Amino acid sequence: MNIEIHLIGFGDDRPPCFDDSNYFNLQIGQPVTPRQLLKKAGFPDASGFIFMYGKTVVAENRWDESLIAEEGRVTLMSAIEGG
Amino acid sequence: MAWQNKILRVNLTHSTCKREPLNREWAALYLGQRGLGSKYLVEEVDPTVDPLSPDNKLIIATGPLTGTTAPTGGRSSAVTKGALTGAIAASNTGGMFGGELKMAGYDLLILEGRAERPVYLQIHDDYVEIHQAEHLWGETVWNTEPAIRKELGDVRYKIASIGRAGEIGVLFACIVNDLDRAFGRSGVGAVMGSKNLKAIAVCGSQGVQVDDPEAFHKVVAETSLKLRDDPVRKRFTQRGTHNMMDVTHKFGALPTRNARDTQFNGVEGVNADSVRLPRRSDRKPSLVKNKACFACTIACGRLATIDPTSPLVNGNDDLIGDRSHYRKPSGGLEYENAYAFGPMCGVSDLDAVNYANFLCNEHGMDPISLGVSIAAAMELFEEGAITLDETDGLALHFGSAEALARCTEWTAFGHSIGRDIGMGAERLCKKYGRPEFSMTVKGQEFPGYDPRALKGMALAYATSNRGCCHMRARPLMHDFSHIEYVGKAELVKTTQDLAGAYDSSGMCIFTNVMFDIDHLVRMLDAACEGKWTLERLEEIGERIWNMERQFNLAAGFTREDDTLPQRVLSEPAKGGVADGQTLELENMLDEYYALRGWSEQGVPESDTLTRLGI
Repeated sequence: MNIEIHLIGFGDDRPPCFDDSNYFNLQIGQPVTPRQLLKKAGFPDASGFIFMYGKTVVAENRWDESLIAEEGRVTLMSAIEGG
Repeated sequence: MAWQNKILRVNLTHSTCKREPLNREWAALYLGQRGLGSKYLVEEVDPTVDPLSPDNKLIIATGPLTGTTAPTGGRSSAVTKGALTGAIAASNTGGMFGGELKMAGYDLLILEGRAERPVYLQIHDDYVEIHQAEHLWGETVWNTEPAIRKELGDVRYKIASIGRAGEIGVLFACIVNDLDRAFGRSGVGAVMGSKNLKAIAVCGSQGVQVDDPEAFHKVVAETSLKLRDDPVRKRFTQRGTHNMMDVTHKFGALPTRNARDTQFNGVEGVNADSVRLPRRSDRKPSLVKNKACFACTIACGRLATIDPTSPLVNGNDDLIGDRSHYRKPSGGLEYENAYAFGPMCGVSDLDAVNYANFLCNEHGMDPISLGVSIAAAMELFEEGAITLDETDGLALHFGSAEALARCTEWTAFGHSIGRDIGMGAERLCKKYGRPEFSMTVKGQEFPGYDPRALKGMALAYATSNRGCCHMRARPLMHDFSHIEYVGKAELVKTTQDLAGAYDSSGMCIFTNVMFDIDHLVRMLDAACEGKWTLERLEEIGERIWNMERQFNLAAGFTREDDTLPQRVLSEPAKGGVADGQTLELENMLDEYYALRGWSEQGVPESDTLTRLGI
């Protein structure tokens, strides 16, 4: 499955796999949790992030559930750029 | 979409909790947060109710963009009849609490009645429980939050609570969330305390959906880029709102020593530079780092420390106990708290100003109202209306860091002259026979903009529905470049309406100076069902304003309350652009009423109400 990851509000702190871009396509073979996806995308620590999958902002309380089960877009917002 | 279509109603008298569908017709007309919360209040509460009676209600309201990726989309409002003012109140907070309430699946939380004994409320999605809180009554906000998380066995809870101030009826008590963010103004914390409600703990996992994710993503990405590159945003991030102090000082618009003066000769001690200068003791500055709210890329909030060698953070005493916990960082100085404890009290001691602000975070007090009330007490003391007999022998002179620190402590604990300061400046000054020393409008204390120099802000203060307020209209930038009266009435009316829309959307109103309102329109249009346009938002803002006005009129307010303290109307400003000037309010007020479609007495005409569907 292809998951398109879009970054919003990030400065120079995006992981190398993004190649200085705000877009990155990630292939996953089975349903994954938001936290697993974040790790795969290069974000071992996602504190301060807002995670949107499809049309839903996913509560952080559910980031350990296997919610990412279909192709689609994940929007990651960093709320700490200014901090 | 964007709305959760659900409200939670908790009756504290009967210990009942009920989920109800959101009234979508009202949501379409009043949006969310301040507007929608006020609509429910107006429909359900008698405007003449005693604010501290069980018949008053306290409504925590999110907006449609709260909990989304909209930049700064983490706002929520506490709506009630204000304890300080007796007027309709809507206090807006950031932090994480609002986003969590939305994630739990609720647009609004309506709190009714009064619990027999102290309680706190637990909300975990559909699970809602009222817990006994007698063991927490008397505890600080800083102790209450971790204590509740420990009791519930879950660190994920976001908590809004009152401190001692809300419990003992300080009329400008606030509700503090996330340790140092607050539903700040008008005494919403006193209303919560009157309900014997210590805290609300929320944990949510429902998620928030938007109607058109493609369009939403596009406009959010564009808006974020705009924010990233915007020079005003950069200044907010680098210097915070605190940057304003040097501006108002130079302009002659910085209320100083209870607005006797409009410039402060000790400004360097408490301005934005002062928090960055290394201290002598440990070579560290007071400012530790920025702090961002949910979904915010501005991060104008601050964490700060007090000099570890200061007596304020060392030793023990009967009232405070062990002072060492004040050595830890807490919410730091922004413009308004720095102004209120600094120039307004004539104090240029950074540690004392930070300390007063820490106590506001810890005990739940509005720093603007507290600082201005202490300033009033200082003037009453200097004029002989308050004597050493009322102050436990402490001289309350302007400029005294000790007086500022002690008065803050005494207000939080209801001790000595602090009991009177806790009534707010208006009641304090009346009690001591000098009502003219009260720098208030409709009972609410001045923010940090002197009306003699800023004509639009003067009209905004006079007409604000929640009492004196700098956030209910946005004439400031125009005021700095146009010191004359021309055009102010229209500017104030227009920006009041737009502020109503911002305050009801879930977004932070600070963004209004960073990107065009078209971004907000497009985000709402993508997130919500239906067609959203600028005209619709303007009308919603105007509808909210008139609805609030109707509530206040029914509560007994009249044109006579749309005024300013005698000082700014009759005592000329000293220094700055308005040197030698007083303020002429009445002509602006007449023009403003006409633009609003109100009578000369400030009552909305029937065709105005009909046009707005009120």
